[in-house]
Amino acid sequence: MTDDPPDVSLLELLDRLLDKGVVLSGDITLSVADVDLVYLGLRVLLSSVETARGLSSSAASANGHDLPVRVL
Amino acid sequence: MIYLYAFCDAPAAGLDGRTGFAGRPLEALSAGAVSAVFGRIEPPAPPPIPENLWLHEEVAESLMTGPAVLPVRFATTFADEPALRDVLERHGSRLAPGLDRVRGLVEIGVRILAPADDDEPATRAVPAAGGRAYLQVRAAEEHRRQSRHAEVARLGGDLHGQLLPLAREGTFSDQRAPMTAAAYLVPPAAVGQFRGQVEQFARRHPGVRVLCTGPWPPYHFAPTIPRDGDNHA
Repeated sequence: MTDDPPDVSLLELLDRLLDKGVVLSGDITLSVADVDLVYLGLRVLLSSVETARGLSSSAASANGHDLPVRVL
Repeated sequence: MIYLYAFCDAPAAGLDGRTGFAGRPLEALSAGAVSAVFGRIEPPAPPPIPENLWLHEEVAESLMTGPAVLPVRFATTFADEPALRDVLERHGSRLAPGLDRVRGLVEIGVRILAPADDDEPATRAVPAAGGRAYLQVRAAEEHRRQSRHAEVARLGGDLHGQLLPLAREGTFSDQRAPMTAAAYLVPPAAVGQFRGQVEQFARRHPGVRVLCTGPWPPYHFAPTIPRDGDNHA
C-alpha cells in the first residue's frame, strides 16, 4: 500500500466492473442488495475523494496491486 | 459453477499457469471466432468486495496482451459449461463484432472532480440564535456549491471535446455531480499523446482535479446482450 489515493482507483474500478462490461443473460448471482451495498460504500468513497488532497500530482497503484492504473 | 471473466479472440492464448478465484486455473471455451475465459468456483459467486473486484480486473488485464478482449461484468456466473457454450453459440454474432470494435485499442478513463472545499461550512460560525442569518448563509453555500458543480460540468465538456479527436470513440457523463466521467478507446501508441493533452488541460485549470486512469480493458465499449436471449435487441 502506498500513500496514493486508492479510493479514486477503486471508484474507477467499481464504475467499470459493476456497471459496464459485457452484460449477459445467465445465472447472475450478484443481488441487487449486494450492488446497493457497494454503491453505498461508493458514496462514502466519493466524500473521501472530495476531501482528499493532492490527488492531481499522485500516481495510484491501488491496494498495492501492480496494475497499469495511473492517476495524473 | 462457472465464473466468466471475459471474451476474447479465439483461440484464447497465454492462460497457462494463470489463475482466478479460489486459485482455480483459467480455462477457455471457444465457438467460432470467440473464446470465453472462465474459471470453476464453488457457489456462491464472490461478493463485490475490493479484493475480489481487483482479482476480476487482473484477469481481464492479463488478457490485454492478446489481440482483443471484452471484459464481462463482475459476478457473471453459469450453472455449468453447457450453459456457457449456449451463450457463446447464441450470441457469437454479437460478440464477434464487439471484439472487432475494440481490437488493438485500450480504454482510458478521464474524470474531473470539484475542488476539495477547504473551508469549514460558514453556517458553523453563525450563532444558532440568528435564524435568518443562518438561512442566508446556507443559501449562499448552496449557491456556491451549485456553481462549482456547473463549472466542473462545463470543464468536463470542454476537455471531452479536446480528447475525442484523439480517440477512436468516447463517452462522457456529467450526471453525477460533483464530477464528470469520460472513457475513450485509444490505440496504445497514442496513449502518451492522449495523456499529454489531459496533463496540459490540468495545468491550465488548477482549480479542479483532473484524473486520468488506464489503460483499462474496454469496459465502456462492451456490448450488452439481452437477458431474454433474444438476438434482435
